[in-house]
Parts: sequence; C-alpha cells; structure tokens
Amino acid sequence: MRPQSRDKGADMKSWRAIVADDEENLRIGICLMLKKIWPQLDIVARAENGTEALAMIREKRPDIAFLDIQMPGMTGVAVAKKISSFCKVVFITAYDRYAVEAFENEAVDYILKPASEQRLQVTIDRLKKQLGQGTTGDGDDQRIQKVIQVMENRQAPKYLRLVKVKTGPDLRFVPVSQILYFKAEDKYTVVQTQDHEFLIKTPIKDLEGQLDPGRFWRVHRSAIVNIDQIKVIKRSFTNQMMIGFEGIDQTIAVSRSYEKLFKQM
Amino acid sequence: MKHQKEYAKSLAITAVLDTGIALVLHQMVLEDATFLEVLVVSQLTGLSICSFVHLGLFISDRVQHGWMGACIAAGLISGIVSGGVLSWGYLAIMHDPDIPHYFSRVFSHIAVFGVVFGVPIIYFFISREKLAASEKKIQDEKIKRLTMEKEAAMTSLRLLQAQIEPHFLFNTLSNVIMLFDMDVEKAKKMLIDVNEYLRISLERTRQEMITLSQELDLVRQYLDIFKIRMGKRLSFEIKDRTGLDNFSFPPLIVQPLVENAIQYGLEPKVEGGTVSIDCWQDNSMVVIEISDTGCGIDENESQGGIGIDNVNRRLSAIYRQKATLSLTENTPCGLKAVIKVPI
Repeated sequence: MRPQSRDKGADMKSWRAIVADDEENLRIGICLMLKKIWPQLDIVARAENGTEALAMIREKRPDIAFLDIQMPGMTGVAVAKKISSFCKVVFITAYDRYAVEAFENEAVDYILKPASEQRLQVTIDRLKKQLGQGTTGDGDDQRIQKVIQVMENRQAPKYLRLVKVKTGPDLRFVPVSQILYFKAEDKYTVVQTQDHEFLIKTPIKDLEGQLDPGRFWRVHRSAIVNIDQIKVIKRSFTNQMMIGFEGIDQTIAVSRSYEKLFKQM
Repeated sequence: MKHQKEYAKSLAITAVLDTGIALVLHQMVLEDATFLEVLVVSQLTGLSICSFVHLGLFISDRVQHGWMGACIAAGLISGIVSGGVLSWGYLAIMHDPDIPHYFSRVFSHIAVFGVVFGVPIIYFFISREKLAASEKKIQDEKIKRLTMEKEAAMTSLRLLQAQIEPHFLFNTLSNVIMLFDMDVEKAKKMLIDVNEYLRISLERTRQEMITLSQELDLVRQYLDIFKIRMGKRLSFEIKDRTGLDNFSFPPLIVQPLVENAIQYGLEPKVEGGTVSIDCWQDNSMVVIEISDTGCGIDENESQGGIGIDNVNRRLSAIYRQKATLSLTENTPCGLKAVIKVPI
C-alpha cells in the first residue's frame, strides 16, 4: 500500500503518477504541464499504448493514472476497468460527447484535449483534495466502473460494412453498399454486385442479423436485398412480386409474406 | 388492379356506344332485321374489339412500350374478326336459311360503324393513358432530381464532417499547443499545415472536379500532419507514375481511404506501419492503390469506416459503372484499396 505520510497536506506528500498517451507530443506535453502546475508530482512512467500502461501500472503501483482513451493495444477505458480499484484514474480525451457526459454525471476526473493549464489546474486541485482526504478506493472504483458500463452500453449497434469473400487465392472485402442482394444457393450464399458474383459460407439467417435493417431487407426465405440498389419492383405473369436491379438481368422473387414490406412504395 | 378497372370502364362505355350504333342502324339502314339482332351483333362486335384492344395494351405494357401501336392494331383486327365470327354464329342459330347475305349486310355496317366510332374512343383512352404516363414520368424525374440534390448535399456534408472529424481536429490542435512548449518552429509548421489542410478541405467540398495531383497534395498534407502526431509509428510514400499532368479527378476520393488506413489500420496497431499510395496507367484506366500494413480487417468486425461507403457512392455517381473500388488483404498484413477510373 501507499507509504504512510505524517504530513496532513497533500502537497507535502509526493504522489506518484503514470501518463499514457500514444502520441509522443501529447505524452510529453501533458508531463510538462503537470510538472509546471504540480511540481511535487512524481511521474514514474510514461506509456505509449494501453498494454504498456496496464503493465506499468501493475508494476509501479502509482497513485494516479492519466489515461488517454483511444490507444492502440488496449483502450484507456479497458485499462481503467482493471486498475481503478487501486489507482486513481483521470481520463484524457480529444472528443467524446457521451464519455464526457458520463464523466460529469459520475464526477469522474477527465481532461479534454487540447488541455489548457487553467483546466488542468482545476482537475489537479480536485485530485489533491481527494487524495489528501484519502477518498480514493471503493467509492471511486464504483463510479469509474459505472462510467465504463455507460460507455460500453451506449455503443451504437455496429453493422457489417464489408463482406469478406474469397476470389481464387485472394481475399477481397466487398463494401455492402456495392452489394445488390444475398441469395441462398445450396450450401453457399451468393453475394451479387453489379459486375461480380461471389460465394460465401455465411448463411442468410446469420447475415440478416449482421446487416443494417434499414438498408437490407429479407424478402424471401432465401434472399436479402439492398433496398438502395432496387431499380424496379414488378409482377410476373404468375403475379409473383419480383425485384430488379441496376446493371444486371437477374431478379429476386419476393415471397407473399414479405410483400407487405413494399406496400407503401 | 389498374388494368381491370380501366377495362371495366371501357367495356361499359363501349356497350353504351354499341347500343347507340344499333339504334341508328336499325332505324335508318337495317329495317328488315329485328332490333335485337342488330343490338346483339353490335354488342358482340364492339365488346370484342374493346377486349382485344385492351389485351393488346396489356401486352404492350408488359413487354415494351415501343410496341403499343402494333399491339393496338393487332387488337383491332383480332376484335373485328372475333366479333364477326361470334355474330355469324349468333345469326346462324337465328336465321339459318339466308346467313351469308344477311350476315354480310348487318356485320359490315356494324364493323364500319364500330371502327369509325371505336377508333376515336381508343385514341382518347390511349392519349389519356399517355398523358398519365408522362405526368408520372415528370413526377419520377422530379423525385429523382430532388433525391440527387439531397444526396449531393448529404455527401458534401459527410465529406466535410470526415475532413474535420473531431478526433482529428482536437488531437491535432493538442499537438500544436503542446509543441509550442517543446519546439516552437515545429509547432508553427504544424499550425500552417493544419490551416492549409482545412482551407483546401473546405474548398474541395464545393468543387466537382480537381486533378489527381491536387488530390495527392491534400493527402500528403494530411499525412504530414499525422507524421508529426504518430512519429516513428507512421511512415508513408506517395508515388504518381501515371505520367498524366492534369488528369481530371473528383476530390476526396483518395483522402478518405488514406484516412481509413490510418484510423482503422495503423492507429490501433501498437507498432504502427506504412501507408503507400501508388498511381499508374493500365489499359486506358488510371489505377490508384492505397495500401497499409496495419491491423487489417477483423473477421468478426469487418466494419471499416464510413469513408469506404462514401467513396463508393461518389465513384458510382460520377463514373456510373465505369469506375471500381476493390478492397483486398495486403501482404503481409493490412488492407489494400484499389480504385480504377477511366481516363
């Protein structure tokens, strides 16, 4: 644990900190600013990425960790999740509306980039006060964990943007906006673009869950179409609803139960 | 549905017209025939002409609009023939002794009247249909134009947002501020770079076409800024081997892909890597290859950025089917984007 200090004032005690940011200028810059505003602070390590930060925090056991959120290896949030029970965390972020909202709500310390000395001073005054009172610990940890939870939950659903296909020996990524439709054929799924046809192994029912439902509609047990790419919807002689696309002759049949999707069009 | 309604309507009008024709003919010409006979022959002829012409229209609708005239003519002839056959059958049952003479008199009059009255009616219906079709076409064009305008506005907004993406902007400005305490000359240079980059970006969102070398200049500026930020984690090279001095090229096509390479390929990779841009000519196409040695695309998280979507949309809007964007795995690692546009 932290060495006991006989001094009551936090300023008298030498607190130990670590700074983690993947951009060198920012890492050095934050350190310089900290040295100027809080000369007694002992910066025991500087980390260039998340993985390094976690390892250094575990090894050096600092009192405070200044963590950039977007870092390679591991995000600052992921690092905080593991260490906030024994180390005070101050997040550094360039821009993150939601994160800042969460920090404010839970009174978690953060620094916005570009950091001004005045703003850093406010954060440091608060840190000193908290450290002096010895209020780091469980309460702090809980607040941080809560913020992390908020940040993890609010992540917008991420839809598939690229579909990985194999063409001969090469791997290719087809942007979903190029895809006209997906159609089940035997054990494979046909991925149709204007000038290519690819085969993938992912079944239609799995794809349905991964694609943006605002753009990709299931119109048949065996087919999903990109509604942005529809050129014409017509009926065949047998009154079957058919979808035609720009640039290709193939059409996709709409099964009766899905016809209502197009009723308003 | 639409056809059935139209058909029922014109059958009703034809029936009324046929009754009128029968009345006139019976009063003035065919006094020896009974009114019922004239009426039945008139209706059979009129309704079958109407039905066949509709069938013709229906087929022309399904097949191809250019064939409408031929389909109507065929419908008219088939209608007269089938009306004649039906009338002959009807009269044969009623009057077997003198069919040929009787039939030719009654039917020929009715057929002539039918054509004389029927053709203007058909013409009326067709022109109404054509009018409706052209109105629909105008409406469609309007919708298309508005959609395109909206799309264009959205695209330039998206492009602008991509250019001055908040993370990029604030992180870059942070660097400048921090550099002022460490290396004033470097800080000044970076600020000038950022300033220039923003100015060009704002101009580009309003320009439709620039040259490939102008686009590459912007990319160089962008990478210069990132080089200061990422330090030894980033290296890059830009090669233009097209030999074309003023090759006209849409703005912000290469840049978003480079941004993608940095944001999704190199920034998340601990050791960083290289972005290479190479351009050359191949079979009357200009090929632009943007490759990175970053972390590539995760099997389960193949999301990429909105950049790829944007570039894709813009390429197809500008070059139709003639330009392509393909993404493949780079060797030994990372992603390779290849753009091909016609010269």
